[in-house]
Amino acid sequence: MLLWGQWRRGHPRAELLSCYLDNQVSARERRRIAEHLAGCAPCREVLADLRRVSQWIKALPAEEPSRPLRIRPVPAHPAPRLALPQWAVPSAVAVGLLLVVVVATDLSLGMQARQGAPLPPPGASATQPGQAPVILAPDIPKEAGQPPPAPVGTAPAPPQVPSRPRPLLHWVALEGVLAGVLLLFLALLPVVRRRTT
Amino acid sequence: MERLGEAGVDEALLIARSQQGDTDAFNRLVAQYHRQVFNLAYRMLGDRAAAEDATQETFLSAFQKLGSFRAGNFRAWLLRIAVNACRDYLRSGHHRKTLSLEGLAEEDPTTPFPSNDEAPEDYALRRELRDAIAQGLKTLPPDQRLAILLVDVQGLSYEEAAQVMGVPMGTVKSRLSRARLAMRSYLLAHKELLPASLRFL
Ligand SMILES: [Zn+2]
Repeated sequence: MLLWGQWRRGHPRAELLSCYLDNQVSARERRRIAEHLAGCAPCREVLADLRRVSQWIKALPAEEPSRPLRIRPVPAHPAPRLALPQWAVPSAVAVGLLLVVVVATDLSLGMQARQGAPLPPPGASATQPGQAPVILAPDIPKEAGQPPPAPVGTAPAPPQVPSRPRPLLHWVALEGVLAGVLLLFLALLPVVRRRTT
Repeated sequence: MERLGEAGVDEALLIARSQQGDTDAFNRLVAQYHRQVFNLAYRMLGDRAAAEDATQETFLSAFQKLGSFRAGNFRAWLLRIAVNACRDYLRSGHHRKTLSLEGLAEEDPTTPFPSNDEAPEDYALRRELRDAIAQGLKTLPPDQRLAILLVDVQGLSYEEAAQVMGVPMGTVKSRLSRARLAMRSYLLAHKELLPASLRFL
């Protein structure tokens, strides 16, 4: 350490006294400062003040963090901030399937109505929306043209002519409601799932 | 430097495990240094919420950078990351709202100010002193404040402080002495903040 820079007009600079306080000076310099302090009251005062400041700052109470901290393992695929892309694809697939089912049902019912086939009671299917595709799928080949020769469930009774247009409209309306409910459910599903995780 | 022996061996083991991605091992290091990092951030930023953010940022960053840590002083390495997190925070401009005078009033009044030679009934006065010192620290330039926080509050050696600050030892010495002198001037200029029994001169 360069002595000449740390002393001024025969007195140690404050920086040197601060280092002296922390025992961060050479043994030779330490002796020289101690000798000076013995005969210089102003320097002793500066040193005492520096010591007091240092002690008071050391005595500042530590603040407690408000909560413990833990690092969680980083997931391989960080969840995207925007929810839209995540559920857009499954929803689009579901809506597509739903449209296929609705159109197929309409076609099938339309055919049946035109061919004079008896309509099933509306309540039977409307109460079980989840089963709709499963039930309707085997019926689709029937609409291709030739009516089955002697199906077990098919009633041979003649259709009631005046009631033909009304049930068709009834079914289309029901399917519309059904589709709306399913769409709503599909749209809300990812939101609910995100809340629970 | 002061952390050798059993604790040092344990820490080296925890660091090695953390470097292999063991989050449990790293969380033990977090628990060990959480308070220290938080307190440094709190005194640097003067705001609890900001300090919590900077602390979290510090440990996340440390976990990511752990691969680059070679044998050495982990505490100094970690505190350096904390200092950078605080600098980023101060640079970002968020601090405008955090450096108001309100921060002091939020301190818990039930925490006593530890002192060796004061009577316990002087609690109110001790709180005045504590607030005066905290306020004085806030008036220091960030570089000086960091020096005095590292050496006097955190108890780091000059060598460690130099590592954390990324400056030569001589710079630590000059910044620390300037900080202490500035604190002395602040307290002298605000004698009314000090308890009568503790006033200078
Ligand atoms: Zn002198």
